[in-house]
This record gives sequence, C-alpha cells and structure tokens, in this order.
Amino acid sequence: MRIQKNRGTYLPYKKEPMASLPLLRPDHIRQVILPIFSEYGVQCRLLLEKDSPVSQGQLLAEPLDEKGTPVYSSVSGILTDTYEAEHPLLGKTTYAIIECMTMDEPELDAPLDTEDLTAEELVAIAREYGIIDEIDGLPLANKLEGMVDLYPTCIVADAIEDQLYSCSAWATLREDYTQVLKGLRLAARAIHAAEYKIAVALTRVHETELKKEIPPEHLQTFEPDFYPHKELDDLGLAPFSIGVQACRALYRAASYKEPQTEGILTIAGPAASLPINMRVPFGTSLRVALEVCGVSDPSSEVLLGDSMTGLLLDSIDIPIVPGMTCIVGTDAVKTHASSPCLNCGRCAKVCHKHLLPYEIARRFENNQYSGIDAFHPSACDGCNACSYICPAKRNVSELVLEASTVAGVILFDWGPHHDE
Amino acid sequence: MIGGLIMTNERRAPFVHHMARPVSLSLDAFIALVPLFLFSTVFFGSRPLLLAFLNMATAVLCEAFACLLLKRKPQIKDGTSLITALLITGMLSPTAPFWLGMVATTFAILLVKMAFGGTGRNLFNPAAAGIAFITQCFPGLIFQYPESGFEVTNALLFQNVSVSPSPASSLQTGGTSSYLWYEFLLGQVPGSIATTAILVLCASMIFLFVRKSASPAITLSFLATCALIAIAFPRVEGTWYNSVLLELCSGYLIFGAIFLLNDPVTTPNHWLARLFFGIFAGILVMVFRHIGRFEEGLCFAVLLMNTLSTILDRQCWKLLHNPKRRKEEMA
Ligand code: SF4
Ligand code: SF4
Repeated sequence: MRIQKNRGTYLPYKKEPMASLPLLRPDHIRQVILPIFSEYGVQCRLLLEKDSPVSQGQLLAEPLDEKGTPVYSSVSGILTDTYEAEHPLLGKTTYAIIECMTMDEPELDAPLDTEDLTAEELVAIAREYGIIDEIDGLPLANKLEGMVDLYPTCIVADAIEDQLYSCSAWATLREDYTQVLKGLRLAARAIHAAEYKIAVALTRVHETELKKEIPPEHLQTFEPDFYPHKELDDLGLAPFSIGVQACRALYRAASYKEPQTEGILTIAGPAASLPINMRVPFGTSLRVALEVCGVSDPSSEVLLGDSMTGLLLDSIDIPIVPGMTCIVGTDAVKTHASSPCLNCGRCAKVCHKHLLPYEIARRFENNQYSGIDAFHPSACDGCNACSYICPAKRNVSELVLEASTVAGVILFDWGPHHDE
Repeated sequence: MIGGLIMTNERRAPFVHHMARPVSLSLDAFIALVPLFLFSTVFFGSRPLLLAFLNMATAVLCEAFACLLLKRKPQIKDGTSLITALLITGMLSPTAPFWLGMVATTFAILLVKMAFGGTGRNLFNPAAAGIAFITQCFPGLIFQYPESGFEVTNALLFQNVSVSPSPASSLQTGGTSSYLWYEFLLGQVPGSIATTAILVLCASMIFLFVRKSASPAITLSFLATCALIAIAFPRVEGTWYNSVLLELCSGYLIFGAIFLLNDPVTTPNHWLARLFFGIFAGILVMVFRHIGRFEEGLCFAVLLMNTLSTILDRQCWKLLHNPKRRKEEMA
C-alpha cells in the first residue's frame, strides 16, 4: 500500500537505464587505498607490516576501543605502503596501500544456521565484521545498540532513494532479494522488533518485479519521483531505519562469516556515457570507477552524493569508502544567475517542514537577525527542495541554513518587534 | 596523491533546478491577455494593439534607462514590465490619447517598480499604481468611453467623441443601466479595452487557475465579497441579481480580480492570507465605489491591500504553523 506523501516536489525521472541493468563488477582494479579508520574518535592499529601479503577479507587493523570497527582488506594482494593524510570527513587518518593481485569472487561455504543467534550475538557479529551502514556511514552495531533502548516495534530497510539518479539500494535488492530480507530479519531480532519492512519508492515496473520476491507484509512502497520522502519521519520510523547494503552484509557476516569489504554505488549523470550500478571493493580510487563509466572528460565535474544534496568534489583521487552510494558526473556545473525573490511562494509550498524560506532569507539578507528566530530556521534539514523549485534560482536553502546559525544574534536593534 | 575531500568549492547543491524561470510567471499572464486584446480589436480595430505596443516600448525603454542609472544589467527578459504595460493598456479607454498610457507606464516602471529595486522588490503593483496615477491626474480622460458604434481609428486625438456612460458610471450616478446580461458577457458595453468581455475574461481566469498562476483563493473570495456587498447595498433599482451583475461586470472588477490581485510579487502566498486578502480587497473596492470620487476605485484598493500583504502572509502562517511547532518543541 502506498502512503500519503508529505510536502515536496516532483523530480524528473533519471534512474534509467541504471535501475534495469545488472550490477557491474570491475575486474581490473590494480590498487586499493584503505583508510585505517574505525570511527570518530576511535583510532585503529595496523596489524601487518609493510610488504606483507594480504588476502581478501583478512583483518587489517583492529580498533583500540572495544566499540570500534575493525578494518578488513577488500582485495588480495600486497600491503606496500602506509601514509598519513588529513581527511576532512574522517580527520587525520592513516591510509594503507594494497597492490591488488587477484580479483576472484570468494568461494562461499554452506551457510551457517542463524536461527539460534541471540540479539547480543548479532550485534557482536555486526561489530566484528566491520559493518557500516551506508545510509549515514555509522557502524551498524552502534546503531542497533542505540535502537534497542527505544523499544522499537518495527525496523525499516530504507531503500527509498528519492533523489535524481541514485538507485544503488534497488540494485542491491535486485541482486539478491532474499539476502537483504534475511539480514533485515536478523537486524529486527537484534533490536527485538516484531516487524521488519523494506521501504521503496519505485516505478510500477520495478515494483511489480519486487512484489514477486518480497511478501507484502514486509514491503512499504512510496510514490516514485517525489522529493523529499519524509514519510518515515512522519511514521516515526526514521530512527529505526538501516541501509539495505548493511542488511545484506549482516546476513553474509552471520551465515558465511564474511566481512563487509565491498560497496555498491551508482555512477551516473550527464557526463557518464555508461551509467551503471557497480560493486567495488572499498578503497578503490574514485577515478578508476569513473573511468569504467565513461566519465573521462577533464571538464566534467563530479558530485559526491546525488544532485539535490551532493557535494562538488575538488579531486576525484579519493578512495571509495562505506557511505558513498551515489556519484554523479556532470558536465561543468552551470551556475545559474540568481535574480531577486519574486515572492512567488513556491519555496514555502514545497517545504516539508512548513517553513517560510523566502521570509527567512529576506530577513537574513537584511541583517534582521533578531526576528529570524520566530521563523524557526533551525528546523530546516537542508533537503534543498526550496532551492530546486525557486524560479529565480536563488539558493534559498543555503540562506536558511546560514540564518539558523545567526538566529537570535542581534546586530542592529530594529525597534520593538510587534509582528513577531 | 590522494587529495582528500577538501570542500573549498563555493557552489552548493542543488545542482539541478526546476525548469521554471522568472519569465514563466509572466508568460502565463501574457497568454491569458492575448485573447482579450484580440477580442478588442474586433470592436475597435487596430488601435488597442497600437496602444499596447507603444506602452510596451515605453516600459522597455524606462526599464533600460533605470538600469543604466543603477549600473545594472537590464532584466527585461523576465517580461514583468511588458506585462505591466499590457495591463495598463487593458485598463485604458480605446479612445485614450497615446500619451496617456505612456505617462502611466513611465510612472509605473520608473517610480513604482525600479525605484524600489526592480522585479521582486516592488511594494506596489506597478500597473495598478500607473492607472491610479492617471486617474488622479486626468480623471476627465480616463473614464471616457466611446459609444458603441463609434468608429475608433488610429487618429492621434479624437475630437467630439460621442461619449456614453459606462455601466460603472451609471451605477455611481444612481441611474439604471439599460444593458442586457448577454451584452455584458459579449463585451458590448462601453468600457476599457480589455475589461469588458466577461466571457473571454472567464476563459483567461480558468486558464490561469489551471496553470496555478492565479489563485482561486484570492479571485473567488474577492468576487464573492463584492457580490455579497452588491446584494446587501444595491445601487440600482431592481432585483438582487441585477445589482450583482452590474457591479461585477462593470469597471475593472473581474479584470483586476484576475490580473492585478494575482501578481505574485505584491500578494500573499499563504492560502489563508490570500483568502483574507481577497475579502478585504473586495470590501475596499465596494467602499470606494460607494463613497469614492471616481466611478472605479479598484486600483486604489489594490494599492492599499499591497501594503498589507506581507503582514497578512506572516500572521496567517504563524496562526496555522506555530502552535504545531510549539507542541513539537515541547515534546
Ligand atoms: S531546505 Fe530547509 S527550508 Fe528548504 S525546503 Fe528543505 S527543509 Fe524547507
Ligand atoms: S521560490 Fe524563490 S522566488 Fe519564489 S518566493 Fe521562494 S525564494 Fe522567492
């Protein structure tokens, strides 16, 4: 059953052909660069010496804290070097360079029985095998532990992907529906939730495909092309949502003792001549992955994340790490000349937080900081729907976000605020 | 060398935009105005088009001149000044001298629009202000409508125009109007260029409603208020629907309800604020008609309401959305 939507707007549908093509697994990766990093504030200790051979799935570094996440090698090869570099997302980090020798699909043993695993054991598995939730880049074990205390009744695998291009969650599902569902069931057991659901927003064709595989009681469908999908917030399920790749990884860790060493990401956009979903070992250089998809024009620019909320990358020589699920290559990003606000009110119409973006922006630009508080700019979650819809091409969301940092600051006193 | 994710870039998401441009707002109004002008050429020949063209040229020149003074790139592309010129033309008499519309347009663009900072920053509706200006300055010229059957040529000035009282003026003087209902619908009454053909106006209105460029909350609440007041305080003898028909179909009422009250810049955005905006504007118009000096006070009502629009907008938003948020914050 599809659910009533919140406020928002419709985006053009650009998920084809990626959503219909099979998953690609590039086989000529020469080198991976793995950040030896566990979690914010928790460093890792490298277990191997330089020039020692490593095999895929071998423990590379263990955390110095028992709550940290270990790092596993994502390929078989030789650990040639390590170096330190500043990483704005991860902080100061050590990287390990592994020259890749072979790239074979690992042989899997018969699955172990997972029926008797207790909640604590499942959380321990998630921690031991280094599973990171791709939705927010946080360790799955910590997320599950946090959820238990809230006594959830339902856990959701969030495969909604409401933005323009990304369909990596759909690709993950499509590759093996049952593994995701089984993993989600394990996650539900880990937090003592009775129900578990996969949330998707797919076109009819894909939805029919999915319905054949997943029983309806475990499916929650939403309207496609709509942005942003905040229904999970409205249903109170947003704190209990995890990624589908994490579900799959949890299942594979529990049944095959396989650590999470690979991620699935969508590479698409106007500059990509072969847009596709691909499965790559963590640590693969983004440059290599982009070349596979035909993003080779030096003038094209690359966004980390999708077009609505992504970041423009300065350099594509960065390793792919958990949490990167969509890369958009665009032709040189056009900067639209913005004109003054027309007061058309469209930004207020699409804001799912019921804010008045144009009013906040106007006050912010006029330095009327003292009155901004009454318009709650801090409630904005940066979905950028207002900037998308604005006919004057104003970046309203940025102004709202900046306004939230100055709310309450008084630069000039404009007299009594009778209208607040 | 691994560069890392150093975000020095100024350009921020979103990297896609909706295809709407400022010009798309004017385009809808333009499309809605075209049939009105075509219809008036059937009655009055090419003079309305000539007036429109002259006013549009004036508007563009004025905007370019103002931008030159402000050392700014002209934003003529967005089409708002052209719409202003067309709206002013629509409210002129077909026999109005050419300079009258140009004076109104110059006033509207230079003093009402560009002096406040151009598109989007104007406080008052430029077209309404332009017409209000010439109504004040040349009251004798603006409400002079030719008798039906009078041959309108492209002459520079008309001598001895056989003037006939418009329905609005007969309402004001208290006489009865001799026009039949279908004459109103077909625009066969003395009146301005684009404001008489009620049927065409209704078609334009529906088009703008469908395109969401005009808001039913404003237009319909405004017309309903006017109709109610017409019933309560009739100015003509006869049945109540006679009074409603005469009040609604005379003067600029429907034209203004569609075009002047739905200018995005100077009207509120919240639906509740729009409702109040329409109601208050309706009350004001009827008050002006009853006690005002001129036969049509719509432009003055629009200008007065423009000053209230931001406050209405904000207060209605607070009324509806703040209690909820307060509760959320408490929880
Ligand atoms: S970015 Fe903020 S203000 Fe803009 S629509 Fe989203 S929540 Fe509303
Ligand atoms: S959408 Fe843009 S032009 Fe319209 S009110 Fe919002 S900021 Fe102003």
